[in-house]
Amino acid sequence: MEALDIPLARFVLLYLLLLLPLYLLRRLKLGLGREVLISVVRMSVQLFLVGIYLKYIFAINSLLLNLLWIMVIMVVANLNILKKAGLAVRKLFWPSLAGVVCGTLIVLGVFLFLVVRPTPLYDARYLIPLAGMLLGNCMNGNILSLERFYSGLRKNEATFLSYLLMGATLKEAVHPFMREAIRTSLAPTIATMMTIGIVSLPGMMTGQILGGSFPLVAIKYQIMIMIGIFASLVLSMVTSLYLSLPFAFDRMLMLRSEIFAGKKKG
Amino acid sequence: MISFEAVTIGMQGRVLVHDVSFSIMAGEKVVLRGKSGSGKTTLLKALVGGARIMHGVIRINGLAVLPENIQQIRQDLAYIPQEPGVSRETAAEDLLLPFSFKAHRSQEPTAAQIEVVLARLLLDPAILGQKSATLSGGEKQRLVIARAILLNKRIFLADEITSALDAESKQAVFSFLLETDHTVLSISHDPEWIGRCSRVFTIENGSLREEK
Repeated sequence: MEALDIPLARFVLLYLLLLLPLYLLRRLKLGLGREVLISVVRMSVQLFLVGIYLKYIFAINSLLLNLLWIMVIMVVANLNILKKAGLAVRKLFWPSLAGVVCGTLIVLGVFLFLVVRPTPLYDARYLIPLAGMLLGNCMNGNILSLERFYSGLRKNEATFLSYLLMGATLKEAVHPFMREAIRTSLAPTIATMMTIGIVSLPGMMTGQILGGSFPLVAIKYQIMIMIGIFASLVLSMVTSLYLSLPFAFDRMLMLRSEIFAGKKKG
Repeated sequence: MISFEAVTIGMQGRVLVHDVSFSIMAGEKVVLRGKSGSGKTTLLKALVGGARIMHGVIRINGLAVLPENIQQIRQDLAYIPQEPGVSRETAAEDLLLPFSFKAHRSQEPTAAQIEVVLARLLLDPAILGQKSATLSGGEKQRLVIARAILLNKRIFLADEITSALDAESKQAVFSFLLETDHTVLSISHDPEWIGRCSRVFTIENGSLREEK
């Protein structure tokens, strides 16, 4: 069983559905119209390009090409993390990338080599969507944790300094800030796991069911993904935060102001 | 002893204190005055490595404020900010926080020692069971000072501490900081505090002037 294809004429109808929310936003004078249009255009173009690209990548299915694709999306995700977290790419590119790579590859390895075991193990049909899903979540979590951690330290410099004066090592002094950042960043994922399946059917599961998989198979994949997301989030956050410390603090153990992106946020 | 030798201090590339020289003997009570943004807090922070010394040398008991000495220097100094950050669940946890760090883990004070210190600052020992968030500004301030006493600190950097103090706390804090042999380098606009300090400096346009 395959999902029903949507004919082009009817597909265009979807865009007409946007007119209603756009009208409401306009009436409320929210000034979001331009932003919404740009985001819809970007979303459509990006997805079409990826669709075309994936078609070839699935057909070719070469280890090297697949790995190259994953590397590219990890770098893009990393740039996005730092940009959204208001941090200087020049200063924190490597530690943050290390977190992304570590969180994604370890979990992906477990998925492909131990749990799913597709043939070949690097089968693009599994590797690419799984990597994308892990990275997407990893990205959002890392944006939150890095932003919370470093803005918390910047705002509470006196408290941080008082820890150093109480004899704390750098790790001890940043620990309360790290705990807070990780806790906040994990909250949405934990909340999702609490309610998943009751209110919403997650996107991937819906996709698989529409694509003709048995619900029980789709559920197994979904549970795998949720556990994977959680594991990769924690791995990447902890790795990025710890590895960024030597880049973010000077020899007096004070936070370097250069790690923040030039433009002040909000 | 603390000495500033032709010191220029900056924050984020901006010079805040320019070519300042002075020294403070052990036990002296010094107060800095100046408009907000004049660099007073920056000057205090420079002593503990919290602001960049662009030129000159600051020495504390003979040790220059440099990365290789900073850990040792920090052992002697207590910084008491305007609004002390008490961040733990209870006052007791906040008071004993430094003893959870590796450096002091083996030196946790006894209940008797804690009681003596609290009494000295007119703090009721029952306060230790309270949630930190419910403490008044004056209580937080005294808790932070109590912590510094337990750590045996000799030099106190006090940044506008009297603004949060009620009458009772004020007397306790004044008598502890100003009537003992600790060295105090403070920032204040409080005439009473200024009147009781032994030396008064004014910072203006990045330079420092002692008032006679």
